[in-house]
Amino acid sequence: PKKVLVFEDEEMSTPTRSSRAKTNINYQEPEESPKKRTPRKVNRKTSESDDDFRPAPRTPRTPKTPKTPRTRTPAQTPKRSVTKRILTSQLTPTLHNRAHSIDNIDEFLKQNKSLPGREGQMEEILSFVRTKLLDGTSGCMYISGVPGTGKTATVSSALKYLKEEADLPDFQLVEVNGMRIAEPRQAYVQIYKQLTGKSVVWEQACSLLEKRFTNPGPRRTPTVLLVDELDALCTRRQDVLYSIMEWAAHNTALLTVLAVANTMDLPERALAARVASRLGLTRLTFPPYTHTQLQNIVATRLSGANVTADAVQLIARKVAAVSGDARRALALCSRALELAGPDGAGLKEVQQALGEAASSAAVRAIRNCSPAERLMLRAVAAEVERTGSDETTLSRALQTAAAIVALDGRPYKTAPSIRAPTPSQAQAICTRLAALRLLLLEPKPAEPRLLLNISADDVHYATKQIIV
Amino acid sequence: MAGVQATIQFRSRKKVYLDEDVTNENKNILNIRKTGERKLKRNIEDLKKDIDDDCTPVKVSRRETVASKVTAKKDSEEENQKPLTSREKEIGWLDNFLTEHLDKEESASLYISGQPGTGKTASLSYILNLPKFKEGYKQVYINCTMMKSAASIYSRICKELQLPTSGTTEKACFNAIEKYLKKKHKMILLVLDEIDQLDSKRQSVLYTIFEWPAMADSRVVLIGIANALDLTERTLPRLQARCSLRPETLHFAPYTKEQIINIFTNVLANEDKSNVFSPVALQMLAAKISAISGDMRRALDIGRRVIELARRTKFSDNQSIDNMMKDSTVTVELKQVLEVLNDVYGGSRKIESDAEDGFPLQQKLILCSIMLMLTKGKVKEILMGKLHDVYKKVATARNIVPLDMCEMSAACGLLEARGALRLGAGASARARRLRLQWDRAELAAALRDKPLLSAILDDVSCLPS
Repeated sequence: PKKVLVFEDEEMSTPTRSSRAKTNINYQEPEESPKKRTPRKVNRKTSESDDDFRPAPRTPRTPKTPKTPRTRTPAQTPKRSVTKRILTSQLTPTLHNRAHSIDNIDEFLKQNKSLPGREGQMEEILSFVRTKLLDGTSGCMYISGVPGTGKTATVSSALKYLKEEADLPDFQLVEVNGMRIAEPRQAYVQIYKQLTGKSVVWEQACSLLEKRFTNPGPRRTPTVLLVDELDALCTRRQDVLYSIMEWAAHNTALLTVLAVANTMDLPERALAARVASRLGLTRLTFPPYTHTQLQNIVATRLSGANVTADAVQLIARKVAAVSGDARRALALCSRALELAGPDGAGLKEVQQALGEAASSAAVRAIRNCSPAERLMLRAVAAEVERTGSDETTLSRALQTAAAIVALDGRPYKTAPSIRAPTPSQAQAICTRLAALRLLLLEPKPAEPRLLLNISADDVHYATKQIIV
Repeated sequence: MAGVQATIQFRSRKKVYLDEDVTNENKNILNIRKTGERKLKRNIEDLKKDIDDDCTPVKVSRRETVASKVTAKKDSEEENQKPLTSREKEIGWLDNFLTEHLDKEESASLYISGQPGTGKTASLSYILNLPKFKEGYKQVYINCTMMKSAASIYSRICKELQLPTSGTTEKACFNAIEKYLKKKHKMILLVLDEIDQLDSKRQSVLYTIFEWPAMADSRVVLIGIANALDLTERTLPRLQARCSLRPETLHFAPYTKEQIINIFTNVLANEDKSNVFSPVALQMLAAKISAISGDMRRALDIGRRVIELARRTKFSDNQSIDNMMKDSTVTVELKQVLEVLNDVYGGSRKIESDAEDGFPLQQKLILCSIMLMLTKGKVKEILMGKLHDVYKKVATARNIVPLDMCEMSAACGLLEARGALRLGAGASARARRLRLQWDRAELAAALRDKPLLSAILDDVSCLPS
């Protein structure tokens, strides 16, 4: 009751004071801290009038008090200038180094001199960018392919190659990755920063870029813009994509856009008609690697390490059958080498690595369950098989469990005295299994519903050996 | 239309002609500054560039070959005055509309609709470039896609009209505009491109803008451009209530085959390259494009690619630039057009070639299992868990190690990236719904050719009983 009184007091006091608006600000004051003017006024007001509530407004004020000494100390001015100099790119941040930017492609190319199996795509990109640069026009190309098929590597090495080509006019290279920016509109900031070296807010960057690309300027160098992970820039309005494509449709902009994404039919599926129309029909698809190509890649990449040829072939065939992802093949190889130790990896290690990658975690998880949990899983699986749908209720599963116990007598050698669980025990068991994601539990007030999240075969396979 | 300029002399072109072009543009800019109406003219410059981007014959020709660039200095004025090919009717209508309202000094609103690539912006910017409208109207051209939010359009208009505002907030800008409209002023021509982007809660911004022409003495001619045919009726139903508010509408129909041929011949004639396309090839190209979309951007894009392809096949043996300079005439035959068109639009052929090579075996097995379930199974709705059961049986029956559940769902993700499937959202991996996106008959035909896969399609024993 005391506290209530206090609040009432406060409410009583508000109308008596000068005006309502100010008192309202008084209450909101801690939330409105970013604005400079209002809190100051409010602070003064509160200090004058309220005696009871001094502690309350003070709390936000306490972090502010150290500000006064800070202004006196010279520490603040250098801080400002540092940020300013970073924004205008007089200072370069040294800690962060982007691993995959085009500037670092040297190292990448040192590691793999050529991209085996991607000669056709390379030629296509080269000729596209070359004609655009030579003719002084703009254009857009959409490059797609499933992950790990060498899209970004091919594009960046093609651009690197074009940079060195003497016959071509000089061009500026801008790289934006949709996944490396917090928000699609930050793409403007990134592009502008790479063109001029200055960081500005996105509205300004957008209008400056628009000015740059839509007005013909003297001594304009052509720009090649590589947009990686294009689908990350898709928003509902698609304004960023629209403006990039719109600039690329201006012949005076001298802008060549290479848009890279995974999905083959992204323009038809996700993009608005006006964006798709500007994107054009120049498409390039990277097919998944075949096993011979994968073999080539792994062989060139691991030329120093001693992995037997048939081991490499096994990996290549296994990966090519599933996804054709070069990254996966290389990861498997390095895992095999780790397993092998100093003397090279053979078929055995490769088999082991493949087994690790493909081993069914579900089966192992079931084997590690307690007997009661296994009983419950068996009951749910039996119920699923009987009814044909993946869904049962807890009570029905309990009945089946009781039936199993009655039928088998002692279902588990290790737990001879097991009985069918009581409903509350069963609930606890199901919750544990749901935490493992072996079951899915839909808690309803009356009757919890159970969904088997693994196949019934797996349950049989994992519980089979333990049955007497 | 980069490809049209097959005669470009690559080495000499680089420095000399770019510079010439640049000086030309510089001169233009200088002249404009002398005249004093800097802001206005710069807008118009923008609009000119907009013509350029919309793949119209006019601007394409301006940027084209060396020869035309040299003559461009003299001819650019006349060339700018040439209306767009195949859009004479719409341009005439627009011309009438604007002249009428200019003479009467009364406000009006107009809504222009049409599919992308049908020349809306291009014809409008041609109109805006005519000297009588340049002088008669104070023109504001805004592309609404670049706006941060719907309400920020006000501040942009203020900036374009150079109005003094009391603050930077939207409200202040809006008040400034309203004040300006009430005052005596020159006729304003406000063009809002992609106007459907101004969509806001309760459409207050769009309503406000469309109400300006109805204000007394406002003297605003408002033109909105968008894709939807019935935007004004559907999203702005209240405008229909009063006759003074109701905008007139103009629709740009997709280009027909004859119009596309006209545009192509015009572009090519401007270059003296009418013989690049054989008539049959041009007919084929135009017929295909007009049947599918009637989008001129696509038509020009494909035309360019066809020429590039022709050039590449011709010089595939020796790609030296010297060689290309000696004899750079290419002719496009029907064969090349068909090749490009099939590459772009050939759906079934793509599926077939996909199923043939570059397709991992396990993904083929998954597709086969889906087909088996769809054709022979009872359930028409495919869940990931059910699919995995069938797939496991299929794979083990053929002595192939089946994939784990999670790996299979990853493989389905890859199939989705190819456009073969669509995965629905689900709480768990097993409950996710799958939908086949490729045509079932075509896929079945493609799979039937392979002995292994066709056997699976008839293997009913793998299905759950």
